[in-house]
Amino acid sequence: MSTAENTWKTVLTEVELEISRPNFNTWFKKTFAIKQDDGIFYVGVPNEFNKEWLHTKFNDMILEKLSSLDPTITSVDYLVKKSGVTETPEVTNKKSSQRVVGQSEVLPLENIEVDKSSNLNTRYSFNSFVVGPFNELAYSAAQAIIKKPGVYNPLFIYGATGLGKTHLIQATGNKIQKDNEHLSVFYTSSEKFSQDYVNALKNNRINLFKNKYRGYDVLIMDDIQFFSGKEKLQEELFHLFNILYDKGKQIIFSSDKHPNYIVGLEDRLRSRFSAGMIVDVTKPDYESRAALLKTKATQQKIPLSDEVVDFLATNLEGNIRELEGILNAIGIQTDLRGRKVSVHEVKMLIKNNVKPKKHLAIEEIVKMIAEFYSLEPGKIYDKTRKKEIVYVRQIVMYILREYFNISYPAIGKEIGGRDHTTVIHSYEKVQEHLKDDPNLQQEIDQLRAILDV
Amino acid sequence: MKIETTLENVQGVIAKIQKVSSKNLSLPVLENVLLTAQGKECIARVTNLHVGVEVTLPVKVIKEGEIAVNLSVLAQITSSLTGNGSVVLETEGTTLRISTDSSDMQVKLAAHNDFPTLPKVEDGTPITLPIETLIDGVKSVMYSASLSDIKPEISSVFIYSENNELVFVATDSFRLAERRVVVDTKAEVPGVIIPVKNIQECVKVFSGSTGDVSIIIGKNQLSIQSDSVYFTSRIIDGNYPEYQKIIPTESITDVVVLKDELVKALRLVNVFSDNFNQITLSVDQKAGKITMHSRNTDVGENHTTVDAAVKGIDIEMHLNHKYLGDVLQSLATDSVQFSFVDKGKPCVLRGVGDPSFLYLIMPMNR
Repeated sequence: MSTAENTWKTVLTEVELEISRPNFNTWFKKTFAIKQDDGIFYVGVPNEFNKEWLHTKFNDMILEKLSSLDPTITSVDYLVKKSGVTETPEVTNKKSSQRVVGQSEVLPLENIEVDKSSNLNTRYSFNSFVVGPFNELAYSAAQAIIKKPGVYNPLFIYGATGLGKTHLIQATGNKIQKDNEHLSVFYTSSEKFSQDYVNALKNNRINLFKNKYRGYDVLIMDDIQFFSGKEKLQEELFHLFNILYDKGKQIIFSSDKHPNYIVGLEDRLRSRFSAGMIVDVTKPDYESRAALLKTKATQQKIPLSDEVVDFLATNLEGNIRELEGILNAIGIQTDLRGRKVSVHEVKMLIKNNVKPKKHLAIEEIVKMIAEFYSLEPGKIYDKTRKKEIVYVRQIVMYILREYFNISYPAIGKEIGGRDHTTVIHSYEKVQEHLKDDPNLQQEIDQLRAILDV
Repeated sequence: MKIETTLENVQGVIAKIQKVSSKNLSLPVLENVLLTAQGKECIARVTNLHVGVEVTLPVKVIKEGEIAVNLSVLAQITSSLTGNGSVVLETEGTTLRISTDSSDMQVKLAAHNDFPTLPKVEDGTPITLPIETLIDGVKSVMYSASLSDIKPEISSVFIYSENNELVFVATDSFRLAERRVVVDTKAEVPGVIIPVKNIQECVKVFSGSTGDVSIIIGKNQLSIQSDSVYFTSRIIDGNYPEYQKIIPTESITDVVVLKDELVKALRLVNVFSDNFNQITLSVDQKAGKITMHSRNTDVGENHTTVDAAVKGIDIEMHLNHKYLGDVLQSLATDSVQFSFVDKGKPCVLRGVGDPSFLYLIMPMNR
């Protein structure tokens, strides 16, 4: 307990003896010490009525008692604050499972848990964040920033949807805010940012908009791939970035792609993103998935046997959000049955809950890869030996072999009727390049994300 | 203290503030009204520590002073008095002597030293608004606010400005009402969340008033000041849900009915409604009507149809008829338009020809 708290406790004990019980209960019971700073003692009160009355009626008495305990205290200030103990109502998963018949459906209203000044959702914390090989780099970068905001500037986190990017950056924001109360942290999605910008333009309040964003110490912007192709917005972001960067303010971005692969992103922005630290979050491996499942199950108080965890971790290679979805379904089933669900039951559940593994036609894959490199898909099948097309064609073959398990002759036949030795050659060549070309590795990773393999 | 005024004046003021003070077990002094006669006026102050009100009572001050007297006793007295003669209130020792033409009473006084002062809101720029606008806006949505205390954000009325409109919103997450009122002044209202219980008091205190009021919104507190009334309330320091996202922009079926016919039909439906107030509303495009069906195992069953202009496809939906009844009371137009998106999606209600109001009802599951 801090000294301020002790001091205030002593004061309260004395006050209680001097004034009537109703008065004490009404005006003092819910007060608490915040801190003592520079001769001023700060007292937290629940509302303005309380503050007003303590100030007009009891100020002299409080001050006298405080300074007799600690002569350095020369004045008292009252701040309206929610008490230190945050009242988070216990959320049980019962709520979601018990749908009362005859009850109206609920409007999907969100946003209540969001902190007003920082726009961060307090639900996201590191307590519920599972670290594994798939995200440990991003995690340590975030930790470094928390220790020393500005050390990697900007921090750019990318990865496919549902892998915990938003969780990570929001938790980072929450932690920074908690450790440094004086810093103004702000979280926004790029969609919200653009809405804000458009509204500001419409209402002629562009200066207000600028001042607002330029005043933050830590700016967190989610899903910035939505800026793609929006030139005006990118320009605004560019200026905002420069100003914050020059002032040494921490900026954190997230996106579903590496900045180099966000189509329609201006080069000047791209290069600025690269100036800091770019880290990716990939899909969790088996161990991480198992750890994730266990953590989430404990949090939601869903009893889960080891076999079920093992089964789920082996069979669900999808993203974290999917895992959570299954877990919720299991939670409801557990509630209904009043016992742990068996592996067999989980199997039945998964059938309905998991989207079937994608079976892409080869043309589809070729088309997606060609588009990624901004090529005409037809060119891949052509006989042309142009260098940039050959390069892409080889990657196509490599991916078809490596991730779709298609035989060499079949690939050769599909891709413009080539001999299977050509395919083998291509495959080996890409494999060779991968060893010493990190860019290629990144491209392949990007493609895997796009193709969801 | 000694003041003289008319009975009408006293009755008017008491009626406005009567409900604010309630039986407060933790601090009994709050059951009283504090009367302060100073200079040329007498101010009546009440508070329940959620809202606080000060009303200026038009009086002739004969002797300055300050007293606290039980408000419900005072209210009972004044409401029992008739006529339009003058009333004299005078302190005599520990009692208040109230004399009129025909009665002479002595009422016990309470200690007034412990009566709290009201907070003044300092951190905010005043916004000037006609009080009618505020009352009108609040009244058209406040019945939709949640009455439970679990989520204080939605047990509230949310007010914000957008362009030249003031927007009032309330929802209990089963239905939502939004009202937009055009304001002349470029009043910039940042989103403010006022607990519905408090805003109800505000409506009562200012009902019948006209003219501009000055509103100051602080971080935790708001105040509204008119010539004769000072009102202050706690506000919620939180975020209102982003409700605009859930308002459907398209519809598959639009139905227009006469409001009076709907009201009558609902009255009948009410007789047969079950504990959940559930009705089944079916739209018949070909026949050009809507049918409301309700059933109660103890009473019986009812089908009532209302003529309607239907555009779109047939649809059937389960609704809580209370939510319908609530909104019809506050709609000023003759006819009502329902817009349906899907069986399981919220349905939108509007007054025909009145774009300023919007109401959303969630269907019931069955």
